[in-house]
Amino acid sequence: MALNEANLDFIRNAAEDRDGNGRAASAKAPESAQQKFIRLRDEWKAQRGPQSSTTRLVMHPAYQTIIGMGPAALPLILRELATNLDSWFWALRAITEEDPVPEEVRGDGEAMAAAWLNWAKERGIQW
Amino acid sequence: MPEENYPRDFPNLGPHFRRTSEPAYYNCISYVVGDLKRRWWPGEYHPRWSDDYWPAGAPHEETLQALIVALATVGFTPCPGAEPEAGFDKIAIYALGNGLITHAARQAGNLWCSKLGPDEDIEHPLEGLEGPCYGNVTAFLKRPVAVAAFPPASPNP
Repeated sequence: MALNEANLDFIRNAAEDRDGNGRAASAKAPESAQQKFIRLRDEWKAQRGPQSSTTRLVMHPAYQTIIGMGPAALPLILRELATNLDSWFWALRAITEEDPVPEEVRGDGEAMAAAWLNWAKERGIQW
Repeated sequence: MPEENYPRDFPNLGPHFRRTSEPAYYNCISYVVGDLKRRWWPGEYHPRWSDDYWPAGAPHEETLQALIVALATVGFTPCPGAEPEAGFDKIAIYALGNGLITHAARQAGNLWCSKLGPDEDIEHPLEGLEGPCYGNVTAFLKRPVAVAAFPPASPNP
């Protein structure tokens, strides 16, 4: 199932909240989506080990928990992808159930990131 | 990869390594074949779930046989041992006891060079990466230097 309009609205709002408008609401929560993402991202990077297999890298529980954050994680993952290339493509596919990466650039991290960022731009998702 | 994790992952390495690059997206197979643009690895699930490049026609299995087929597409053939051979680039394949391939290193004189998963490149003795993470060296492959030069070693950070 692809992202529907309701999910896209949720993602756009999450991006706006992260950028400042929702700071008061975030302060009430014990941990904002951004704080949770950063904590899990750092845990994943510290503990994933020197695995050569991308599949094995993304099976780490912290990475899987990021996927479990659902659409709220999408702007955060896109921002990470735009600034610090890493294995975020699995999570993006799992959350959105889409895959804008052309077969011919499979494995090329920069080209895959560009395809996802372009996908997000076309849908008005900010990061 | 934090160096404090080295003793956990590479208990045979000790202080006998030199870090030669910062973390980058490519992986160990990219590094040994000289294709730093793409991460190479067989997909464990349906190819549509794979984020990595794997040559067409090579089985999508983490086995030595599949790796030999994949690396044949860029000129590598199996060879018997680690001794340097003039005119050839040589690589070593690591695998676990159950046969799953885990890593590849390339020869650099009397030492070997590796990309450690998604992390940095290091120079190391061949046996230094043997252990619980990568298993043991199980095979060697070589190709004529003329086929494709390895990328130059990165400067120290």
